Amino acid sequence: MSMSISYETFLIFLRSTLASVGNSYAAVAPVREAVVLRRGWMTDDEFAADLALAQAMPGVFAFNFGAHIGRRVGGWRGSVAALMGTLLPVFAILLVVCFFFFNLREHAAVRSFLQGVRPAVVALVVLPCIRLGRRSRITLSNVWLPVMAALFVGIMGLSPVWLVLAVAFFGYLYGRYVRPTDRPTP
Amino acid sequence: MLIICFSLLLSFLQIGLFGWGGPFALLSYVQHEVVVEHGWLTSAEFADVMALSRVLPGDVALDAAPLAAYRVLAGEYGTGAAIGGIVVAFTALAVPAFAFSALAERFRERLSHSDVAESVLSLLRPMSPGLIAAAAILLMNGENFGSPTVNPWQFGVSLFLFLATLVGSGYYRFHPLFMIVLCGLAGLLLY
Repeated sequence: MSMSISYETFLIFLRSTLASVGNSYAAVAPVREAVVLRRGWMTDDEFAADLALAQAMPGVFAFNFGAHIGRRVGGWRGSVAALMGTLLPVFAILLVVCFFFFNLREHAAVRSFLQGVRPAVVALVVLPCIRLGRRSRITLSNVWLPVMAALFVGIMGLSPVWLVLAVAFFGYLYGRYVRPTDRPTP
Repeated sequence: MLIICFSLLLSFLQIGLFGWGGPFALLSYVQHEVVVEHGWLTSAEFADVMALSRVLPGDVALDAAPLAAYRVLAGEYGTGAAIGGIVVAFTALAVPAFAFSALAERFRERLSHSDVAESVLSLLRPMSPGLIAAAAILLMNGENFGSPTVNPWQFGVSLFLFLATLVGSGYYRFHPLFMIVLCGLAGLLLY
Protein backbone atom coordinates (compact mmCIF):
# COMPACT_ATOMS: atom_id res chain seq x y z
CA MET A 1 0.00 0.00 0.00
CA SER A 2 2.64 2.48 0.97
CA MET A 3 4.80 1.38 -1.96
CA SER A 4 2.26 2.48 -4.50
CA ILE A 5 1.71 5.85 -2.80
CA SER A 6 5.43 6.43 -2.92
CA TYR A 7 5.54 5.48 -6.56
CA GLU A 8 2.64 7.77 -7.38
CA THR A 9 4.26 10.59 -5.47
CA PHE A 10 7.43 10.00 -7.42
CA LEU A 11 5.53 10.25 -10.70
CA ILE A 12 3.65 13.36 -9.62
CA PHE A 13 6.85 15.20 -8.82
CA LEU A 14 8.55 13.87 -11.91
CA ARG A 15 5.86 15.33 -14.14
CA SER A 16 5.58 18.57 -12.19
CA THR A 17 9.31 19.18 -12.31
CA LEU A 18 9.34 18.63 -16.06
CA ALA A 19 6.56 21.19 -16.30
CA SER A 20 8.47 23.71 -14.20
CA VAL A 21 10.98 24.70 -16.86
CA GLY A 22 12.80 27.88 -15.96
CA ASN A 23 10.85 28.60 -12.81
CA SER A 24 10.74 26.13 -9.97
CA TYR A 25 7.60 27.66 -8.50
CA ALA A 26 5.73 26.45 -11.56
CA ALA A 27 5.85 22.95 -10.11
CA VAL A 28 3.53 24.01 -7.29
CA ALA A 29 0.32 24.15 -9.30
CA PRO A 30 0.57 20.69 -10.90
CA VAL A 31 1.47 19.12 -7.58
CA ARG A 32 -1.44 20.83 -5.89
CA GLU A 33 -3.77 19.68 -8.60
CA ALA A 34 -2.60 16.09 -8.34
CA VAL A 35 -2.32 15.85 -4.57
CA VAL A 36 -5.14 18.04 -3.28
CA LEU A 37 -7.70 18.18 -6.03
CA ARG A 38 -7.45 14.88 -7.79
CA ARG A 39 -6.41 12.52 -5.05
CA GLY A 40 -7.44 14.35 -1.91
CA TRP A 41 -4.32 13.29 -0.05
CA MET A 42 -4.38 16.54 1.86
CA THR A 43 -6.56 19.60 2.21
CA ASP A 44 -5.84 22.89 0.53
CA ASP A 45 -5.05 24.42 3.91
CA GLU A 46 -2.52 21.73 4.69
CA PHE A 47 -0.99 22.20 1.27
CA ALA A 48 -0.76 25.95 1.77
CA ALA A 49 0.84 25.45 5.17
CA ASP A 50 3.46 23.11 3.74
CA LEU A 51 4.10 25.45 0.84
CA ALA A 52 4.67 28.36 3.21
CA LEU A 53 7.02 26.23 5.28
CA ALA A 54 8.97 25.11 2.23
CA GLN A 55 9.37 28.70 1.11
CA ALA A 56 10.66 29.71 4.53
CA MET A 57 13.31 27.00 4.64
CA PRO A 58 16.85 27.52 3.43
CA GLY A 59 18.16 25.70 0.40
CA VAL A 60 16.68 24.77 -2.92
CA PHE A 61 12.95 25.47 -3.00
CA ALA A 62 12.13 22.57 -5.32
CA PHE A 63 13.69 20.13 -2.88
CA ASN A 64 12.12 21.63 0.20
CA PHE A 65 8.74 21.64 -1.49
CA GLY A 66 9.07 18.01 -2.55
CA ALA A 67 10.36 16.88 0.81
CA HIS A 68 7.59 18.57 2.79
CA ILE A 69 4.67 17.60 0.61
CA GLY A 70 6.05 14.11 0.20
CA ARG A 71 6.36 13.70 3.93
CA ARG A 72 2.81 14.85 4.50
CA VAL A 73 1.61 12.38 1.91
CA GLY A 74 3.62 9.34 2.85
CA GLY A 75 6.07 9.83 5.69
CA TRP A 76 9.77 9.63 5.03
CA ARG A 77 9.21 7.31 2.09
CA GLY A 78 6.96 9.86 0.46
CA SER A 79 9.57 12.49 1.12
CA VAL A 80 12.27 10.45 -0.57
CA ALA A 81 9.96 9.56 -3.46
CA ALA A 82 9.14 13.21 -4.05
CA LEU A 83 12.82 14.16 -3.93
CA MET A 84 13.68 11.42 -6.40
CA GLY A 85 10.92 12.56 -8.69
CA THR A 86 12.29 16.06 -8.59
CA LEU A 87 15.89 14.97 -9.02
CA LEU A 88 15.54 12.52 -11.86
CA PRO A 89 14.52 14.88 -14.68
CA VAL A 90 16.98 17.51 -13.52
CA PHE A 91 19.77 14.97 -13.37
CA ALA A 92 19.03 13.49 -16.77
CA ILE A 93 18.55 16.78 -18.58
CA LEU A 94 21.54 18.43 -16.98
CA LEU A 95 23.78 15.49 -17.73
CA VAL A 96 23.09 16.03 -21.40
CA VAL A 97 23.56 19.77 -21.02
CA CYS A 98 26.92 19.26 -19.33
CA PHE A 99 28.24 17.35 -22.29
CA PHE A 100 27.39 20.07 -24.75
CA PHE A 101 27.53 23.25 -22.72
CA PHE A 102 31.25 23.74 -22.46
CA ASN A 103 31.91 22.73 -26.04
CA LEU A 104 29.18 24.86 -27.55
CA ARG A 105 30.44 27.89 -25.72
CA GLU A 106 33.57 27.82 -27.85
CA HIS A 107 31.79 28.50 -31.13
CA ALA A 108 32.04 32.05 -32.34
CA ALA A 109 28.32 32.51 -32.90
CA VAL A 110 27.44 31.10 -29.50
CA ARG A 111 30.09 33.28 -27.90
CA SER A 112 28.63 36.42 -29.41
CA PHE A 113 25.13 35.40 -28.45
CA LEU A 114 26.17 34.72 -24.87
CA GLN A 115 28.16 37.93 -24.69
CA GLY A 116 24.95 39.77 -25.42
CA VAL A 117 23.02 37.70 -22.92
CA ARG A 118 25.33 38.26 -19.98
CA PRO A 119 24.43 41.87 -19.17
CA ALA A 120 20.77 40.89 -19.52
CA VAL A 121 21.28 38.20 -16.92
CA VAL A 122 22.80 40.72 -14.53
CA ALA A 123 19.84 43.04 -15.05
CA LEU A 124 17.52 40.13 -14.34
CA VAL A 125 19.20 39.78 -10.97
CA VAL A 126 19.00 43.48 -10.18
CA LEU A 127 15.25 43.48 -10.74
CA PRO A 128 14.28 40.92 -8.06
CA CYS A 129 16.69 42.70 -5.76
CA ILE A 130 14.70 45.90 -6.18
CA ARG A 131 11.38 44.09 -5.95
CA LEU A 132 12.31 42.18 -2.84
CA GLY A 133 13.74 45.35 -1.36
CA ARG A 134 10.41 47.07 -1.76
CA ARG A 135 8.55 44.18 -0.17
CA SER A 136 10.92 43.67 2.72
CA ARG A 137 9.84 46.66 4.77
CA ILE A 138 13.30 48.09 4.87
CA THR A 139 13.44 51.22 6.97
CA LEU A 140 16.19 53.61 7.93
CA SER A 141 16.74 51.56 11.05
CA ASN A 142 17.51 48.30 9.30
CA VAL A 143 18.85 49.35 5.92
CA TRP A 144 22.30 48.71 7.29
CA LEU A 145 21.57 45.00 7.06
CA PRO A 146 21.23 44.67 3.30
CA VAL A 147 23.96 47.25 2.78
CA MET A 148 26.25 45.26 5.03
CA ALA A 149 25.36 42.07 3.18
CA ALA A 150 26.03 43.64 -0.20
CA LEU A 151 29.32 45.00 1.08
CA PHE A 152 30.58 41.85 2.77
CA VAL A 153 29.48 39.37 0.16
CA GLY A 154 29.51 41.43 -3.00
CA ILE A 155 32.56 43.58 -2.54
CA MET A 156 34.68 41.83 0.03
CA GLY A 157 33.80 38.38 -1.22
CA LEU A 158 32.99 36.92 2.17
CA SER A 159 30.80 33.87 2.48
CA PRO A 160 27.08 34.57 2.85
CA VAL A 161 26.84 31.42 4.95
CA TRP A 162 28.96 32.91 7.71
CA LEU A 163 27.14 36.21 7.43
CA VAL A 164 23.75 34.58 7.81
CA LEU A 165 24.94 32.44 10.70
CA ALA A 166 26.44 35.45 12.47
CA VAL A 167 23.33 37.56 11.98
CA ALA A 168 21.07 34.71 13.07
CA PHE A 169 23.22 34.22 16.15
CA PHE A 170 22.96 37.89 17.10
CA GLY A 171 19.25 37.73 16.48
CA TYR A 172 19.05 34.76 18.76
CA LEU A 173 21.01 36.49 21.52
CA TYR A 174 18.93 39.60 21.14
CA GLY A 175 15.66 37.73 21.17
CA ARG A 176 16.66 35.57 24.08
CA TYR A 177 18.34 38.01 26.41
CA VAL A 178 17.61 41.58 25.40
CA ARG A 179 14.04 41.65 24.16
CA PRO A 180 12.37 39.89 27.08
CA THR A 181 13.76 42.44 29.52
CA ASP A 182 12.16 45.24 27.51
CA ARG A 183 8.73 43.86 28.07
CA PRO A 184 6.96 44.64 31.34
CA THR A 185 6.76 41.64 33.57
CA PRO A 186 3.22 40.25 33.87
CA MET B 1 39.83 13.62 -6.82
CA LEU B 2 38.33 12.65 -3.50
CA ILE B 3 39.33 16.02 -2.16
CA ILE B 4 37.38 17.68 -4.95
CA CYS B 5 34.33 15.52 -4.26
CA PHE B 6 34.58 16.34 -0.60
CA SER B 7 34.81 20.02 -1.47
CA LEU B 8 31.72 19.72 -3.61
CA LEU B 9 29.92 17.92 -0.82
CA LEU B 10 30.83 20.52 1.76
CA SER B 11 29.99 23.48 -0.43
CA PHE B 12 26.60 22.27 -1.56
CA LEU B 13 25.75 21.03 1.90
CA GLN B 14 26.31 24.55 3.17
CA ILE B 15 24.14 25.93 0.40
CA GLY B 16 21.37 23.49 1.18
CA LEU B 17 21.54 24.00 4.93
CA PHE B 18 22.12 27.72 5.24
CA GLY B 19 21.04 29.15 1.92
CA TRP B 20 18.30 31.33 3.26
CA GLY B 21 16.44 34.08 1.51
CA GLY B 22 14.65 32.70 -1.51
CA PRO B 23 15.92 31.52 -4.89
CA PHE B 24 17.64 34.76 -5.83
CA ALA B 25 19.41 35.15 -2.54
CA LEU B 26 20.39 31.49 -2.86
CA LEU B 27 22.16 32.61 -5.99
CA SER B 28 24.70 34.53 -3.94
CA TYR B 29 25.50 31.48 -1.81
CA VAL B 30 26.03 29.35 -4.89
CA GLN B 31 28.00 32.08 -6.59
CA HIS B 32 30.28 32.47 -3.60
CA GLU B 33 31.10 28.79 -3.42
CA VAL B 34 31.29 28.06 -7.12
CA VAL B 35 32.91 31.21 -8.49
CA VAL B 36 34.54 33.17 -5.70
CA GLU B 37 35.71 30.53 -3.28
CA HIS B 38 36.57 27.54 -5.44
CA GLY B 39 36.61 28.89 -8.97
CA TRP B 40 34.80 25.88 -10.39
CA LEU B 41 33.09 28.15 -12.87
CA THR B 42 34.23 31.53 -14.11
CA SER B 43 31.96 34.50 -13.65
CA ALA B 44 31.07 34.43 -17.32
CA GLU B 45 30.28 30.73 -17.21
CA PHE B 46 28.14 31.31 -14.15
CA ALA B 47 26.22 34.05 -15.93
CA ASP B 48 25.67 31.70 -18.87
CA VAL B 49 24.36 29.03 -16.51
CA MET B 50 21.97 31.57 -15.07
CA ALA B 51 20.65 32.29 -18.53
CA LEU B 52 20.44 28.61 -19.37
CA SER B 53 18.52 27.80 -16.20
CA ARG B 54 15.60 29.78 -17.60
CA VAL B 55 15.04 26.99 -20.10
CA LEU B 56 15.93 24.15 -17.77
CA PRO B 57 13.87 22.69 -14.93
CA GLY B 58 15.00 23.74 -11.50
CA ASP B 59 16.34 27.01 -10.20
CA VAL B 60 19.82 28.33 -10.77
CA ALA B 61 21.38 26.71 -7.74
CA LEU B 62 20.10 23.33 -8.83
CA ASP B 63 21.36 23.81 -12.38
CA ALA B 64 24.72 25.28 -11.41
CA ALA B 65 25.61 22.34 -9.17
CA PRO B 66 26.02 19.65 -11.83
CA LEU B 67 27.70 22.03 -14.25
CA ALA B 68 30.24 23.06 -11.65
CA ALA B 69 30.87 19.43 -10.70
CA TYR B 70 31.23 18.40 -14.31
CA ARG B 71 33.53 21.26 -15.12
CA VAL B 72 35.89 20.56 -12.28
CA LEU B 73 36.02 16.80 -12.69
CA ALA B 74 35.48 15.86 -16.32
CA GLY B 75 38.64 17.39 -17.69
CA GLU B 76 41.12 15.57 -15.52
CA TYR B 77 39.27 12.54 -14.30
CA GLY B 78 36.85 11.65 -17.02
CA THR B 79 33.12 11.35 -17.38
CA GLY B 80 32.60 8.68 -14.75
CA ALA B 81 34.12 10.82 -12.04
CA ALA B 82 32.14 13.80 -13.27
CA ILE B 83 28.89 11.89 -12.93
CA GLY B 84 29.93 10.85 -9.45
CA GLY B 85 30.58 14.48 -8.61
CA ILE B 86 27.16 15.46 -9.92
CA VAL B 87 25.55 12.83 -7.73
CA VAL B 88 27.48 14.13 -4.73
CA ALA B 89 26.41 17.71 -5.40
CA PHE B 90 22.75 16.80 -5.82
CA THR B 91 22.77 14.64 -2.70
CA ALA B 92 24.34 17.44 -0.71
CA LEU B 93 21.53 19.73 -1.81
CA ALA B 94 18.73 17.24 -1.25
CA VAL B 95 19.63 15.86 2.16
CA PRO B 96 19.06 19.13 4.06
CA ALA B 97 15.62 19.41 2.48
CA PHE B 98 14.83 15.92 3.71
CA ALA B 99 16.14 16.73 7.17
CA PHE B 100 14.13 19.96 7.33
CA SER B 101 10.97 18.13 6.41
CA ALA B 102 11.59 15.71 9.24
CA LEU B 103 12.14 18.47 11.78
CA ALA B 104 9.52 20.89 10.54
CA GLU B 105 6.60 19.03 11.99
CA ARG B 106 8.06 19.04 15.45
CA PHE B 107 9.27 22.60 15.49
CA ARG B 108 6.55 24.34 13.55
CA GLU B 109 4.34 24.97 16.57
CA ARG B 110 7.14 26.14 18.81
CA LEU B 111 8.64 28.39 16.18
CA SER B 112 5.47 30.16 15.16
CA HIS B 113 5.08 31.58 18.66
CA SER B 114 8.71 32.12 19.38
CA ASP B 115 10.05 35.59 20.00
CA VAL B 116 13.55 34.43 19.30
CA ALA B 117 12.55 33.17 15.87
CA GLU B 118 10.82 36.45 15.19
CA SER B 119 13.86 38.49 16.13
CA VAL B 120 16.13 36.29 14.01
CA LEU B 121 13.82 36.61 11.05
CA SER B 122 13.49 40.34 11.50
CA LEU B 123 17.22 40.55 10.92
CA LEU B 124 17.43 38.01 8.12
CA ARG B 125 14.53 39.29 6.07
CA PRO B 126 15.89 42.73 5.31
CA MET B 127 19.25 41.17 4.56
CA SER B 128 17.98 39.10 1.63
CA PRO B 129 17.82 41.91 -0.93
CA GLY B 130 21.36 42.77 0.14
CA LEU B 131 22.46 39.26 -0.74
CA ILE B 132 20.82 39.51 -4.14
CA ALA B 133 22.57 42.83 -4.63
CA ALA B 134 25.83 41.11 -3.72
CA ALA B 135 25.23 38.53 -6.42
CA ALA B 136 24.62 41.31 -8.93
CA ILE B 137 27.73 43.19 -7.82
CA LEU B 138 29.88 40.10 -8.21
CA LEU B 139 28.58 39.71 -11.73
CA MET B 140 29.46 43.24 -12.73
CA ASN B 141 32.96 42.67 -13.94
CA GLY B 142 35.06 42.75 -17.06
CA GLU B 143 34.15 39.23 -18.09
CA ASN B 144 30.52 39.99 -18.34
CA PHE B 145 30.55 43.56 -19.49
CA GLY B 146 33.88 44.16 -21.07
CA SER B 147 36.09 46.89 -19.71
CA PRO B 148 35.81 50.51 -20.79
CA THR B 149 39.53 50.71 -21.46
CA VAL B 150 40.24 47.40 -23.18
CA ASN B 151 37.13 46.83 -25.28
CA PRO B 152 34.94 49.93 -25.13
CA TRP B 153 32.56 48.70 -27.84
CA GLN B 154 31.64 45.65 -25.79
CA PHE B 155 31.37 47.75 -22.69
CA GLY B 156 29.05 50.22 -24.35
CA VAL B 157 26.87 47.55 -25.89
CA SER B 158 26.73 45.61 -22.63
CA LEU B 159 25.72 48.69 -20.71
CA PHE B 160 23.00 49.37 -23.24
CA LEU B 161 21.68 45.80 -23.11
CA PHE B 162 21.80 45.89 -19.32
CA LEU B 163 19.68 49.02 -19.19
CA ALA B 164 17.41 47.76 -21.94
CA THR B 165 16.69 44.60 -19.96
CA LEU B 166 16.10 46.57 -16.79
CA VAL B 167 13.55 48.74 -18.52
CA GLY B 168 12.10 46.01 -20.70
CA SER B 169 11.59 43.45 -18.01
CA GLY B 170 11.14 45.81 -15.10
CA TYR B 171 9.00 48.53 -16.53
CA TYR B 172 7.37 47.00 -19.57
CA ARG B 173 7.11 43.57 -17.95
CA PHE B 174 8.50 41.66 -20.89
CA HIS B 175 9.16 38.02 -20.14
CA PRO B 176 12.76 37.50 -19.00
CA LEU B 177 13.38 34.83 -21.60
CA PHE B 178 12.25 37.22 -24.30
CA MET B 179 14.78 39.81 -23.12
CA ILE B 180 17.50 37.17 -22.94
CA VAL B 181 16.91 36.03 -26.50
CA LEU B 182 16.68 39.62 -27.70
CA CYS B 183 19.98 40.51 -26.08
CA GLY B 184 21.55 37.37 -27.44
CA LEU B 185 20.48 38.27 -30.95
CA ALA B 186 21.83 41.75 -30.41
CA GLY B 187 25.09 40.12 -29.39
CA LEU B 188 25.13 38.08 -32.58
CA LEU B 189 24.61 41.18 -34.67
CA LEU B 190 26.92 43.53 -32.87
CA TYR B 191 29.87 41.35 -31.91
